Amino acid sequence: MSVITQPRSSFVEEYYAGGPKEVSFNPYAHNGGTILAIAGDDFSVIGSDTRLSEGFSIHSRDCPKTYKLTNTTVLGCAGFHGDVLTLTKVVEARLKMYEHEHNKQMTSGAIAAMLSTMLYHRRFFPYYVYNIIGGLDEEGKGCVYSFDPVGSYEREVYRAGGSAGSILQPLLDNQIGFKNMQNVEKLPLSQEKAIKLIKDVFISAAERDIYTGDQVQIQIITKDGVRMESFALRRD
Amino acid sequence: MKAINKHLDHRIDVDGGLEKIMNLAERVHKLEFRNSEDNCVNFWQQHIQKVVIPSNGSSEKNSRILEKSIMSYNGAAIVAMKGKDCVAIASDCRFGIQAQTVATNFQKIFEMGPYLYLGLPGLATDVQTVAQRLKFRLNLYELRENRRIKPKTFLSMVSNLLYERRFGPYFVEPVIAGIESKSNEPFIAALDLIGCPMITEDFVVSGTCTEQLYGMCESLWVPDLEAEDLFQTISQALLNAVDRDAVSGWGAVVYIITYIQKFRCGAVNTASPKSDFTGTEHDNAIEYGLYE
Amino acid sequence: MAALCVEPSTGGFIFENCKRNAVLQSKGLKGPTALKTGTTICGIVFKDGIVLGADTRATEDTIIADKNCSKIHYLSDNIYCCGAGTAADTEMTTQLISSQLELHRLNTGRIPRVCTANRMLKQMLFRYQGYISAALVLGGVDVTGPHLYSVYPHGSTDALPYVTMGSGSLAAMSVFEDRYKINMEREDAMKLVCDAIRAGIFNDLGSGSNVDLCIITKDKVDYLRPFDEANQKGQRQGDYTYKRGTTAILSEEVKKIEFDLISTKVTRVEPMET
Repeated sequence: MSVITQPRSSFVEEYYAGGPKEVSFNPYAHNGGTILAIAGDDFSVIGSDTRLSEGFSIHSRDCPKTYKLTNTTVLGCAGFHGDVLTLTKVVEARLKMYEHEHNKQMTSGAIAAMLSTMLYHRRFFPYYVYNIIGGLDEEGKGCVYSFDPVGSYEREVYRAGGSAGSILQPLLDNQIGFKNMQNVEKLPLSQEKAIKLIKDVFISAAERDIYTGDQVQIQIITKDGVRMESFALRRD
Repeated sequence: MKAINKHLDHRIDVDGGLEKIMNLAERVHKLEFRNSEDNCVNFWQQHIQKVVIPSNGSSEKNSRILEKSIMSYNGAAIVAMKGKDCVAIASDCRFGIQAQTVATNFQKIFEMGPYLYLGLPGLATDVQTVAQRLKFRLNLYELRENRRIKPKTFLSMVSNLLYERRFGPYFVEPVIAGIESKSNEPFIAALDLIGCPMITEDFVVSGTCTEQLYGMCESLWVPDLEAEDLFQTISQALLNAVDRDAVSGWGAVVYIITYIQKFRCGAVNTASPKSDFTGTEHDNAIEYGLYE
Repeated sequence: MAALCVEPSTGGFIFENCKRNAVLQSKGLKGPTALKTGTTICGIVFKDGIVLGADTRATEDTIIADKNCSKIHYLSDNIYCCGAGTAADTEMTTQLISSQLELHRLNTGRIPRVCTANRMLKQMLFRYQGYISAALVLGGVDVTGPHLYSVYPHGSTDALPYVTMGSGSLAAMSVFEDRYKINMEREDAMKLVCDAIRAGIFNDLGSGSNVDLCIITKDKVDYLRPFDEANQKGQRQGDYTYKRGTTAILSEEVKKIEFDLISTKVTRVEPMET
């Protein structure tokens, strides 16, 4: 966040008297970070890097951007960290309320729908957060929901977001979606391949995006719960 | 349909049961507005437009197309890669005016010699101007020196042409791919729009979807690819990258420039007539057109 | 020849596109960004000479354009110069001064002095009023001993025993302020400069990859590139090579290339037995 004072003209500042001075205030900051989720037949994986940065400096090397919401749902958030903290806090509160009210946990699909309304609720002063949900649906199949900052969302098989989202996405298209290839066997995605792929694309992202690095943290969601795995990335 | 209904049910449950929380959230929300009432409109103009980005998952800097940058006015994607004794350079074929596609056979790669190719992404008018100016300078060079230009020398030529216009640049970011004729060394390089040269040992990318191309190349490229494998790698890198860019695509063209074969002329009276000529003679530059 | 020349060579910058570009910009098209080297560069004076150091990252906005670029530029056999700022500016400015120094050397028959290079650089940069954004660390050894300067884009210069420049300058300077001593040994000086650059590489996002060093002494220059590979690319776990024929092809054309016959040689080959 920053407050910037802008005099009318920097050249005549000394001789300028009276009149209003325009002060603008930027309520948002960009803290970088990359998130990525892939859905398999009976699992889903969601990964994020652990670097928190602003401008040219690193705030933290150990700040994962995935938040476990329920036993079958993990939320990934990147963008403005202040909004991320608030958003996840409110989401968690509402999940708790739901659980007390209905005596069961919210499903991934319902969480996605709720998150969408929460984001759209702030349509004209949005949470500056890119969200991706990885989880299992009611039938136990892997599901991924991706959002824009004002609540447009859809269910997908794979999605990358955050500062290196556009670096990761085409390789997912190619390797999981089998795009632009002929004569290839379209095998269903295994858990091992998904994890390997996440590590590899994050290696690539760390090479080229200054806001991605330090570590990638992967959460693997299966019917047995959520398992975590970490993998070191370059630190420059 | 059933699933959607279920979601709706949940939402109603949630909203009904959590009025208190909602009210609380509402208050915080309003408070923020009240505090910043005077600046409220300013926020809207300055920040919301920046923050609300067309497709989900893309980052702030990706709104370049919306900001109408000169570099993405026509759209282009170019990539060059090194292989084992070969280089490849590829581009998309689209020519557009912002979001409107005008032509799908636009030339962005220019032959600057038998083993030297130049890719020019950027503002189409400058692409053609720069290509012609460079060809002119190149012709003068080759007439004066009576020899082919080396890729590295050509790089300096491009660099000088662009840096001359440091304060009023051409909007192109060239890519050079070639093979050094004496040493047979593959060579690739790229420049920014004011002529800063960059020589690399793996790949170079340029155009409106550099991020996507970087992601593909960083994952796909391995050293010492044979010409045919290099073709697969560069094609897949380009095709998948342009699919995530709105202003490039519509087919692609790939040039593979292979090692200049060394000739061995055997004596005629050998036992096997096949050994007369080793090495296929001239098949050095192959041009491919690709399906989108 | 002059009649042939459609584009007469005037020397210096050409401003023919400026008006057009201004019109394009006024119509709301945003101007592009040039390659920047958000950089850590530094140099110190030690007992026998100068150690210059630089990282090797070049960025374009938040994307790394070059992972291993060279930021320590040659000016003359005894003078080198680190550059930060717009990459093209540092590259071209140092090339220009390098050629002027070489002409100066040939004219005077003397090895150029560092203060000469410094004066040339500052006069050029001052002339362009900061529009050529090159921030330089200039170091060399001449007949009067080792000299180290920092040159700012507007043309001001400092002569100091230890200097840093670029976006990582604060990180690097903190290391120097902590550990710099006068009359350091060569090995200690190299270690100190390397650590200063590493501080920039790891703590400044604009700097990264490797450490380059250049050690200039009275009769020898050691240009170590890379001196230290501070970061290595991670090991890929999957295999992403494609089967041949994976990409659909519309058409294929093989170009015949005329080749020049360089030499011919006839050798006798014994018939093979089959």
